[in-house]
Amino acid sequence: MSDHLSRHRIEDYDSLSAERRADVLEHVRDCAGCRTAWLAEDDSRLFALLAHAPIPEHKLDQLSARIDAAIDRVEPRIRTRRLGYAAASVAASLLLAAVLGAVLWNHETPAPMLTHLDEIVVQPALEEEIAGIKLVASPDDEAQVLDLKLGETQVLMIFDESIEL
Amino acid sequence: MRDEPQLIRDASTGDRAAFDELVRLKRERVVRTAYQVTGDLDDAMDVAQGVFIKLWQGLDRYDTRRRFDTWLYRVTVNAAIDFVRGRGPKGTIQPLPEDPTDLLAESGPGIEDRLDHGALQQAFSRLAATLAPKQRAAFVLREIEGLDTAEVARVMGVAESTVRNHLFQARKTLRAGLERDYPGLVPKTSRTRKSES
Repeated sequence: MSDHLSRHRIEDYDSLSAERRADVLEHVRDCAGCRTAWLAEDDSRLFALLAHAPIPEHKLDQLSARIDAAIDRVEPRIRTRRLGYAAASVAASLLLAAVLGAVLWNHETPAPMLTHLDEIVVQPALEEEIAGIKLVASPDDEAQVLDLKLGETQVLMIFDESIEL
Repeated sequence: MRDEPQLIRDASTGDRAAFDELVRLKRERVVRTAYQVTGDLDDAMDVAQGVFIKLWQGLDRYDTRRRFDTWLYRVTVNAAIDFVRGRGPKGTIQPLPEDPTDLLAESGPGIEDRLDHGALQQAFSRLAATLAPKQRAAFVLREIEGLDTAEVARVMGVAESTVRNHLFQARKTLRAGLERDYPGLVPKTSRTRKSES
């Protein structure tokens, strides 16, 4: 950088890039002549020099200590929340496994309920197949049957809006 | 030694040492920004503490595609503005200094050490207290933190034209306040030349 700032840099300070404004600021901190010319454009530029005002180190250390203490207070809550999510995930997995297990078990040894469902599903005249999903008639309303084949295992899911839980 | 992106990733998984390091890296910037917006260092400390606790609790939701500093400035400025609004008019009127003098008339190496940042800060805190919080935040981010107008707009979540408008109003108010209340703060030749033009 030359001894003094160019007229262009002083007059166009506001439209300079952040890096160039930082350079100008660096210069006017130490050069009274350029600083006077720079402030002549706009007195409020004076406060840009606060960019270099230091925050006392002991205050910053106090802040770090306060943050540490505050985190120690809130951390158990966060940990509890995260454990809660984990427990919910495990419970959901167990429930899914139980449901699948029950379905597979029932498929091998038909229970009375499945017999009842079979009666609903097996009505060829009322079936309408759409990409693996069959629409069938249920006693009160229309039901959907999703027929999944997993290897040699067949999983049959029936969605019936007429059933109230 | 971990770089900043690594610190952010580690801190977001609950690594306290990484978070402490991140705090050390960013604390001065957060306190300085909060200080300039609230006008009080103790208030700024409270704001900064809240910002870092929020950071600790929400870092796992931080979108890594966005610039971290922009995100941090946004959280800080919003917290500081909320603080100022919640505080109401308290602390907005401060007495004038007894003898405001030309702090910047000297020149040469080491002048920085002789700059009375305290007096400059007092003048800014007093005059900026009359600005709307968003005008003040825009001025602090653009002029003191040195961000580009586009970056200020991203931090504040407004259009660039809105930022320019905030800056125009802020400068106008600060210029008038300097002339009225701190005539000795700016080198006299500056003021003379300005009034001649």
